[in-house]
Amino acid sequence: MDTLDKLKILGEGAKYDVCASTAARSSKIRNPAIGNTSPSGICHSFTPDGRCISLFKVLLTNYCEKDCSYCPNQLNRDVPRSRFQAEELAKLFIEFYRRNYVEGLFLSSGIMHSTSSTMNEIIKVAELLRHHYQFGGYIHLKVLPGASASEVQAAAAVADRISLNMEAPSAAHLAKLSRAKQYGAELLNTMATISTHVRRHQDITHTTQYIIGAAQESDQDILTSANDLYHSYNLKRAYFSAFQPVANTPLSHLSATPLIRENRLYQSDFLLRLYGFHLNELVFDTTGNLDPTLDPKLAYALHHPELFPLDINIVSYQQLLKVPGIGPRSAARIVQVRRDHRFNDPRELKNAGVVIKRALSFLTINGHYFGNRRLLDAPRRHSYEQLTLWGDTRDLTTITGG
Amino acid sequence: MILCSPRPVSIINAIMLAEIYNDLPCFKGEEQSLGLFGYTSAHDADNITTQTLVTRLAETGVQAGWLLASPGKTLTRHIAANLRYNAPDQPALIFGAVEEALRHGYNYSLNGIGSISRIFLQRYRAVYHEVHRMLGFIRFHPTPDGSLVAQPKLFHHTADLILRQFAPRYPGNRLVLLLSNEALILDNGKLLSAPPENFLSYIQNDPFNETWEKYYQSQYIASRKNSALAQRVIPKKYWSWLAEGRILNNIAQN
Repeated sequence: MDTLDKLKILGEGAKYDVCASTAARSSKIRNPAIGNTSPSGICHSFTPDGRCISLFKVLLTNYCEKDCSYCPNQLNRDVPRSRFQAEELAKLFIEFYRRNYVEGLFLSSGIMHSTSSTMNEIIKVAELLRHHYQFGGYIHLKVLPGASASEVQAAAAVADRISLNMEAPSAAHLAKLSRAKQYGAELLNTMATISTHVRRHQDITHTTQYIIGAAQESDQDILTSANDLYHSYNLKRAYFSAFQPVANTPLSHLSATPLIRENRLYQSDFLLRLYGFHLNELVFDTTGNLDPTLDPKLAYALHHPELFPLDINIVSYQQLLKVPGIGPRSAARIVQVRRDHRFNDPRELKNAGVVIKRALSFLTINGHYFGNRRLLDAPRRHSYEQLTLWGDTRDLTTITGG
Repeated sequence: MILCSPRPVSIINAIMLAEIYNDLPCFKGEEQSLGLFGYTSAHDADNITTQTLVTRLAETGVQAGWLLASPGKTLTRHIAANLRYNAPDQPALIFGAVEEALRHGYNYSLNGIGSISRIFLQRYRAVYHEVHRMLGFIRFHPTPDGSLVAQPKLFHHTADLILRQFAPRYPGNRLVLLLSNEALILDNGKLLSAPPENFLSYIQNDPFNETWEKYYQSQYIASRKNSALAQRVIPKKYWSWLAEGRILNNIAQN
């Protein structure tokens, strides 16, 4: 099989993995011959579905001994299989990088022969890049479930980011997806090992990914799990991937998870990480799910009408972040401008980056209210659903800075 | 009439002189654009220091000390970016934005709250957005002597900024950008110019294009097709230039 055919198979095998940000603080090696890292992510292209292509995202091999029932590479599927040799992959990647097609490497793999031998092959590719090619750019390595402490350490030594996919929020949910994967021994223990390395070394971060909707888990289950990883395991970011049924897998009969669910989870995750929200402030229904028709911050604001309206010229930065239509950047800008100017007009707020349509009902400007009072006093679904029409189609996985 | 050079410090000085003398600023050589105002006595903004003008302005009640501190550096950076923005009203807008900064305070202006400042900030962002976008979209073609040659699609005067941003990524390579009338070269930190014809042959045939297209297509998840989003993130003005533009076009039409 030639390199182009391998690229097709092993590129497709990795396309469901999410790895949005390529931001990194500093290069892993001194005086690199090629490559550097950037403090902000750079997209080198976008797929026809709008997702950013920043990394050369590929599998080392799609041979796999695991039985994950959602996965296109699981061992029982009859699909073309292939593998890259470490040298071949490193050389191919450098050719991509030299031409500026990608910002770095994202390397994952099926498990071939054993976790240990596959992990060592993954690490070998990164070591070739760092030591043979003197590559100083971004490398993201997938850590396989059950990888040993020494393998995690070796991966962390050469990568800017490592990640272990949790896939499901609990052992009970994971059991519905795989009989071979052990939640405690293979996932949480490895996550703890990664966390220990991340605490010791400032130049590495770690992330994880959840499959959404394959194990009948609720949004609350997923966000609780991610929140716990943020606080207890030094996780940098959680990514969410809406389940897509794959032919000839045990879950092929399930319907695809709507992408809006993935979007709502990303929005909630942003509220938890960047907007100072606590998990108990998010609004879940009785089944533990977010309202798919409402932006989570708007749902919060409608759930707490007693907190609004707030006067734009008085409220704190933290309070501004709770207002729909105001993000961290516009809140910071408002606070800065207020030092020598009082806002008098909604147009000035718009110029400061506020999404006026969403924000006005929750604000007063110098004591004047420009919004729809009924939205707070007696909210009708129709009127507040209008507020969510814009902005919700954003693919939040492309937002960088994680 | 206040005459200045198209440089940030000169422009800032010109606006302060304009405040002091209640006159109009103008780039040197463009005096005729002022019409009858062009016949008033001229002050040269290059012949006076910012420090002196700040002191003189303070005597008239306008506090502009911030121009000598960090916000002044930020304003300088914004003006420099606006000078690279390709638009016929470029000088008028820059003069207007600096004037707003003096009248309403730097926070008002640098955050784009006023109507002129808003466009001023948008243009600053557009220039750096083009640099950032080109750091991703430019495709280099290696030459036998180790140079990397690319033909960018630029709408503003950003080629030198882009080359300098690329320099740490390719420390061992000479970088060449082919522009409409010259080849801009970054060699060991020095910017040089050469005829573009010397490099055109490297651009036309790189067999690696096929490898990229194969990889690009492998990353597409058909069930997530979202042409509207794809068009927003890669605007159509780049589709004829990027190799994947043809694929995007085909998928958008189906």
